[in-house]
Amino acid sequence: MIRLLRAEALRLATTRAYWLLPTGAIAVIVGSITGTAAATNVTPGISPARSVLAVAGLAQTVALLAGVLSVTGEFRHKTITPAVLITPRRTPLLVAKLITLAAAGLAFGLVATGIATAIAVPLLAARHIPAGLTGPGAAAIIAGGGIATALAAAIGVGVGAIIRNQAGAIVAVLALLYVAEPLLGFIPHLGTAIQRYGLGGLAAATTHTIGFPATAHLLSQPAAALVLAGYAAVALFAGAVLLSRRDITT
Amino acid sequence: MASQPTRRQVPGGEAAAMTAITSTQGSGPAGRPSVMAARGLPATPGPAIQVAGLCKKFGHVAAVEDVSFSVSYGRITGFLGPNGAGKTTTLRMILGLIRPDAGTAAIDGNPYAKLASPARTVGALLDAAAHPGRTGRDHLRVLAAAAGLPRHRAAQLLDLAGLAPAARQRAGRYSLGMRQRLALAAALLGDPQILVLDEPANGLDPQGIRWLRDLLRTLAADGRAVLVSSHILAEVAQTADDIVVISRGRTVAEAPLGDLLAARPGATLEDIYLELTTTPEGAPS
Repeated sequence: MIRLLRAEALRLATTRAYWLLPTGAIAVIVGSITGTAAATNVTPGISPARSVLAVAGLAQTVALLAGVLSVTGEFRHKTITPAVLITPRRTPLLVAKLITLAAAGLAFGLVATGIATAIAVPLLAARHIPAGLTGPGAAAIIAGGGIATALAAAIGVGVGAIIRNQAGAIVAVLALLYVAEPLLGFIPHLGTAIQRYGLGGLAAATTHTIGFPATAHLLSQPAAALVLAGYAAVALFAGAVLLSRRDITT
Repeated sequence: MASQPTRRQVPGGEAAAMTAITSTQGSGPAGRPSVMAARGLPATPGPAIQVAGLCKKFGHVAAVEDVSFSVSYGRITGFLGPNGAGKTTTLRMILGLIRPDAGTAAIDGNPYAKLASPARTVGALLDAAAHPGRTGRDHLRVLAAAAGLPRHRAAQLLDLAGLAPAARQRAGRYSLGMRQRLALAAALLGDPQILVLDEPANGLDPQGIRWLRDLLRTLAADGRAVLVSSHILAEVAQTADDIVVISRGRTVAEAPLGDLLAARPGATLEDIYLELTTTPEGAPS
């Protein structure tokens, strides 16, 4: 497993997409956090800092996509063949990807949310808006950002092993996040469950920020992290079974 | 067709296992680095690869219906057949990438998945695949890391494959021939005893083809087993010791090249191949 982790770390380090995606995401987060913190109006009852920091949720989307790319890229570029020839037992291969991507996701999530907090809190203070954020509260948001991003990467690895077609997997993930969940969230009764148990709601709850649609139905931070971890486990298990059973013909 | 190929004894045996090859046979490029250790025959006799009654259907289409043959150490086995005959599917079944519906494929008597260290046992080239954004050197380093091989193997094999000048270029900029050389380098990373190569001459220029021929002969002379599929029959006739022909998913011939040619005086390998793979209706299968 040490060998596989070393190989996966090298794969990650030598593929530009894994540097461009998070770097771009951090640039977007810095820009939009600065803009939002400078211009946002105070909504009564909602912590302005939590509301502003929801923008950092982009980190989870990017990590989810990176996880998907880590598996589907192997099929798209046919490098899955040499990889499986060297490691005929395919589940350890997937586990190595999981560990590597989740670790990278954790680091990326901590950095992205940390930078966002470091920008948002002083900006709000400069505008004399009470941030509504204590020291431990900020720590919970940053830690939650790291955990949610790691779990998002893990889900991505699982989804990539299930849907091996790269374009198909990316479209499926983006459609779920940005079309299906927001739309279903408006349906009475069902909407509450979607807001609570959908990926968007779980990510917002895990990071302890307030996402869209702003909702009071979110789970607690630990509960949301557990449900997200459950999703990751299901996706990874299904992905491992399919990866082991399917023929590799490309 | 039934005659079993005799194994060629490799001079040196155990003693040769310690010696690295320093020159190529024939008139290949001089100064090839001694990357591949010369090895004697393995302690356990028997075929390097044994394929028995392989069958595989994709949906309702039978890709392979009944393929059996064996590949011996110290010999180059040419694996021939028309497009769609099932060559690639057979090779992928040997390598554990495709699960056969029936039949077995064994490497040194075991399924590929049971090999203790696959990269050091079998080297395979199936398609010249590399991530286009990764350099040739990084591509080999990733594979070396996964196989538990030292980093310097990547540089050694880039030299062997003649890719050292392009080591830091991204594989996306490689020509087809360069990608083929990179894939060959990847196959040889673990200094394997058995080589499985699917159309390795694809995209190679005449220099590359000569280089490949010399390399395969050197590898076989070391006592390694080489299974190589090809459509270039003139090349196979120059290189192979044994011939396996499949047609429409079935083995139609398995014999030493010399025996095939001796049975039909005056006929070339091409004549014999076309007879074997042409259907009774007269159309190529």
